[in-house]
Amino acid sequence: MQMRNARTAPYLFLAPFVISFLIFGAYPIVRSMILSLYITSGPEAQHFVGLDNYLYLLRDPDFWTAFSNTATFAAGSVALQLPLSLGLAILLNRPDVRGRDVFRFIFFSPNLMGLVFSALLFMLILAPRFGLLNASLHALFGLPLTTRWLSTPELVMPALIMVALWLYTGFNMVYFLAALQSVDGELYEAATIDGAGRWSQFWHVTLPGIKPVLIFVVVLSTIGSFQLFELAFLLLGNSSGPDQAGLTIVMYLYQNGFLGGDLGYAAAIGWTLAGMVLILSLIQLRITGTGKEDR
Amino acid sequence: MADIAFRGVNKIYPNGFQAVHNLDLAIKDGEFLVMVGPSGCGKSTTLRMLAGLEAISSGDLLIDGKRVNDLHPRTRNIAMVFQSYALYPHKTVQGNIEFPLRMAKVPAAEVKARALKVARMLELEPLLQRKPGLLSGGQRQRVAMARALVRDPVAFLMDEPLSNLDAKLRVQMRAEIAALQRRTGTTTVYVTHDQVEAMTMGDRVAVFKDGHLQQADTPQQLFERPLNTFVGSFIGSPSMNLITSRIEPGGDGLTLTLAGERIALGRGLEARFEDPGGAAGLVAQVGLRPEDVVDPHLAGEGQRLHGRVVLTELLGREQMVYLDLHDSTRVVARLHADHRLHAGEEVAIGIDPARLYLFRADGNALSYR
Repeated sequence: MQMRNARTAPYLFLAPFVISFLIFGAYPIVRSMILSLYITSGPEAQHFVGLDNYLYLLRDPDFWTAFSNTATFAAGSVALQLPLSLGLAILLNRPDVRGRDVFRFIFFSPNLMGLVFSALLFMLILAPRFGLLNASLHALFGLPLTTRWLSTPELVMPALIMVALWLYTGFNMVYFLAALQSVDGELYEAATIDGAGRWSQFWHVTLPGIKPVLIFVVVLSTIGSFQLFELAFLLLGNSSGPDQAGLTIVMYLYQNGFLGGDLGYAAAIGWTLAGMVLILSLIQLRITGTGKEDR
Repeated sequence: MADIAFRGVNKIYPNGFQAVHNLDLAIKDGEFLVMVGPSGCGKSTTLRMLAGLEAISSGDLLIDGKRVNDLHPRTRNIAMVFQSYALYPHKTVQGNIEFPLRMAKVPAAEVKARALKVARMLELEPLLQRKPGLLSGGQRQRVAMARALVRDPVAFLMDEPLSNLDAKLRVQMRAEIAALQRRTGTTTVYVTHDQVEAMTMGDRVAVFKDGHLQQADTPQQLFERPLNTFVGSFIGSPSMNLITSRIEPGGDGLTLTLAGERIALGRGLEARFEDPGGAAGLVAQVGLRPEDVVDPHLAGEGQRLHGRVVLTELLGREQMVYLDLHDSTRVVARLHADHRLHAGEEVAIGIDPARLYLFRADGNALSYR
């Protein structure tokens, strides 16, 4: 009896995770892969079509609109967020900045709010006439108060990028702050004595020192950007904005699967997105040389 | 090549703590000066002020007669070796050595040539393409030295450069650094808390305590003529025994009263002290180095102390004997190991008056001859 208990105990301890993973993790993954080979209409009716969903996807102009929107969003938000959050982190890492902790908290605080609340907030900020953004731009540069950020096709993505900037810059800043604190302070002193100015110190000490975190943040924000859905959904609704300017890949998946009822096609979109993110991450890792032995 | 001078230099931190008090110290061109003292004595702060990493609160720092207080570290042309070596972990050995030259915008061909020359001198050539993470402690140390040497600086500063090495390597690197300094003839300021390093490496040694310079002298002078009890006991291992005692004029010359026993000093002190007879009344403490304790059979009549052995440590040919005198003053003696002593034994030790150190009540030594 004793013996048997000792043998079965580990399996019993592992069981809750394994079982829930199988039900909620492994099964949906496999099921969605199978599903992507069917045309469906609601949960009941399905018809096997092989790879037709994927082939259709390649010729689907709406999908490519969604892809191009999402890529624009990803490029824009990563390109702006990264330097901004790194700059803030460097600034707030200086011991001579007064009220560092207060500023750190302030910049991080958007993450403490719910996404829905943030979206509501930005609906007000972006609103024509009375919105904070238009009012500020009017006061500063004399721009018109009537700019409709969320209903002008060219302005939808800039607006979304701006909201994402507000939401995630502080979060990435925390990663960079942690990375900066792990750089040996004596290296800066050595560099100072070796004649390096501020820019050289940043280039030769800071950047190599935080490289792993930098890559991590780039990959993570790219993946996150490609999965953009809630923000666009909350700000634009089902409509995906004027001229489909706010249509993202996940939004398109949602429209097909849950509004259109073709879960098979939605699954194919999902798997295509997963493949894209994987390839993109591999390219990023290859470019930055991560994973190679440091010799 | 440079003369360095501190003139009345103070370092006071914003929180009011004064790390260095009114430091006056001149370092000659080509000299190897070691700054030594217990942790928190101000030696590292002094070095960092010289490097330009710490601001000088008041006083003047002169390099070749020019005041450099407000000069940026870059323009002082001083090289420094850090305790952690502070090698750039992402650069190869070559990249590390070349870095100061690249920062100085030296032409690329010259950078390569100079880096290679220094690498050869320090036997680093086979390691040039390695990253610091793959080097042993001793190799990293040499890379740090090479990075300092390559610039041809006016002075080298070294902050406890050997403290991260194991004991054997430390002894080896000690000799290598000293030899390298002699070869290049560059003014070197070396900080350590290890008095053996200080004594073996420095042309001169500056002893610090609580932010005050106690004495700056050749190792020999520091050992033989310590200016106060702190220097006396800091230099030498094991430390000098400091014993409360009195000296009075006796029958033939002076008499030392120590732990209730009277020792006839004769004229033994006159060789070293200016006026031992006149100053005798001022003596409050007598310093006796463990290695100056002599075999009682060789000691003169009335020059013996008696005590009980508490502990002995055998060190090959020698033994450290810890004994309590009659008034329980603890004394350490370094004796030959021929005749092993054991705890509990009653023994006599001999004293050579010519080798005693005499200090006043304020801790300062009696004037030396």
